[in-house]
Amino acid sequence: MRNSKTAPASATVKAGNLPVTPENVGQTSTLQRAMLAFRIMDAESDISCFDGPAGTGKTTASSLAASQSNRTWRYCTLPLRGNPRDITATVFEAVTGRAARGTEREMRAALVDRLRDGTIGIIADEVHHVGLPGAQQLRHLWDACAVLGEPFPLLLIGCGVRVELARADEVRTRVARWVDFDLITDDEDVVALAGALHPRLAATSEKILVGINERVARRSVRTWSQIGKHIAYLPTTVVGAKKPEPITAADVHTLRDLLGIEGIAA
Amino acid sequence: MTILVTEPPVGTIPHLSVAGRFHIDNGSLAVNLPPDVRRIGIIALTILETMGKDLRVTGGNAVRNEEHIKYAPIWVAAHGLDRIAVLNGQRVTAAMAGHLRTLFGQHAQIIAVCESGTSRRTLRLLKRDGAAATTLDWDDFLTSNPVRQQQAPTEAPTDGYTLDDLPHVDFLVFRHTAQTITTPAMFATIDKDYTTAFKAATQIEPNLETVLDDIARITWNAHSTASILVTVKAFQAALFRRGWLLRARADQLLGTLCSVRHPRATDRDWKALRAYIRPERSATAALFLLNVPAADIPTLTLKEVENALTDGALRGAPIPEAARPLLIAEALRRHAENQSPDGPFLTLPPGNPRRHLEFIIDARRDLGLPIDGRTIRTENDTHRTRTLYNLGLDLGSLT
Repeated sequence: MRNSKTAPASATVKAGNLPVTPENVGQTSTLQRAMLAFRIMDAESDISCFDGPAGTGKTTASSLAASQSNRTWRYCTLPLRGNPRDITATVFEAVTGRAARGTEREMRAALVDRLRDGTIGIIADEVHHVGLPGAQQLRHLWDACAVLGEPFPLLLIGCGVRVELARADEVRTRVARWVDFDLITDDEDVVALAGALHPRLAATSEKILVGINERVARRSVRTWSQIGKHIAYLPTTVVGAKKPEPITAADVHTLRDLLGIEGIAA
Repeated sequence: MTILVTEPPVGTIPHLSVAGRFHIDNGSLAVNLPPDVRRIGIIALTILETMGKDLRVTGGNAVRNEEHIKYAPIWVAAHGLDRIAVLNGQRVTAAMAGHLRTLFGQHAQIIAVCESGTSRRTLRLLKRDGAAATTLDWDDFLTSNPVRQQQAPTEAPTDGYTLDDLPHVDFLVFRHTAQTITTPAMFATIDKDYTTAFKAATQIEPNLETVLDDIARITWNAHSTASILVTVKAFQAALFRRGWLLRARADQLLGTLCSVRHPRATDRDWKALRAYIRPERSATAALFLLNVPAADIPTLTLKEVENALTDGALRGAPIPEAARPLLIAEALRRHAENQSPDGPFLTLPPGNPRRHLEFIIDARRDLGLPIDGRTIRTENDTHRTRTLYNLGLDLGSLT
């Protein structure tokens, strides 16, 4: 199955399909680093890690990078506190598209057979759900292909992964590159991110955008994405306007109320 | 025996460095220990899986650890494994070292390949707990285990021509047309088969049973349907010259003749048979692929098979290198059961005299072996000829 960049949001999400990539993604410096790391991982068939707090764009970056790759990428969300069989079953379902069955060893053998042909890459999200034992499990799967001379690219995504893996050198040293995602603090990143989300944001001054970033988005990429969606529905937004109007203070109030943001007004 | 402990320089992934250096066909194996493995049963299963045993085939299982512990050393000996790299060697404890020694035997060289920076600790713990262990330099490890040369895949044997090279004409003008549409070299190959069959057909009794037997005999070793077709055309021409008309529906005839061919096992097929943990399954299918009639398989004695392994041929059929471990494993198992040399080579479960046939059918289904299920249970030749007869081969006098 090919990457599902253009899949409609309403489509049933099957195991292994990539999350839908937003239409507009701001080219922040972190995103550019992530794209570069992903390309290297794709070419070298090794392990990379996107690490950072929730809502900082890790999954979006991986999905965007995967959609630009020629390889077939399978995405899985690792189960919360999953045991070895749960983890292997999740990856098995993502890779094969079939319901998990059999023992953990049987599924792992099937996965090694499938992954060693080199056409598939895996994106394992929410690594913090499974902790170090889960990362060991994924690393063992990668090693099983590597010892046959046919490793596959593996992207680990999670929150606090670096700290978790620091306890096991044999896993930490397998990760060839790390991309740290963090809250948006750089003004240039704010302008790039907001400008890509909606024309009205692109027309808004940097000062106001920085204010929105601090007080409404709370520096979160995910909240910025929500803001971009909501602007289209604001009463002051004219559909098809030749020259988009900048965001006003009233708009910011409305957005803050809609998004349930409490605290000081912009 | 001492266990050697080594580790790569910092930043080197041992699994990638070991890839290509250890291979079962080379008498060596690289075993990737899973996380948290400790017990001998799990280690045995891991070794079996590394040797190509597949838990998804009939009889495969991940839970009968006693069976795994029993068969792992047998397969290790059958493949003649004497160099073992144990990856994730930092997890090897003194108890595990003992298990590895039990499973691999006293003479195998076992090398614990640790992650960078862990070998000293591993060595210290092994020694503390009474295991004999010593350090092996990484460079020495790489030098003494060079990357195995990739063997070019062997091409399947052919007849030298295919159906596309043969003319779609009646037998009267077949030979002449073949000469005009092919190259001289290819025609020479076709004509060699043609004249062999033609000469045979000029001397046989002109009755259908004899004709069928002779066609089956001449085409027994055919590699494709093309040479079978040439034989039929030659028979038609020779019999026509003698005043007989042999009529055949070529497509059905080719299908039937191909279905009663003896299986032509390739290197891939022999290696596929490694998937079975139980040696009797691999050995039964191997004997059938070695052209032993299904009915004779239970009557083979241990001595007969061991002599064949020494001679390199079983009942005239050469035993390929890849097939030898399959037979050796069963022989070792029988010796472990104190079987006398004159006893049966295979132990088949009691109460089912046709169990060996089920093994063969399972192997065909599990591994995609070139075995035609319709002929496995055939125990007489007349059935085969009857099949041919039913397909409408017809011989009639022209005078």
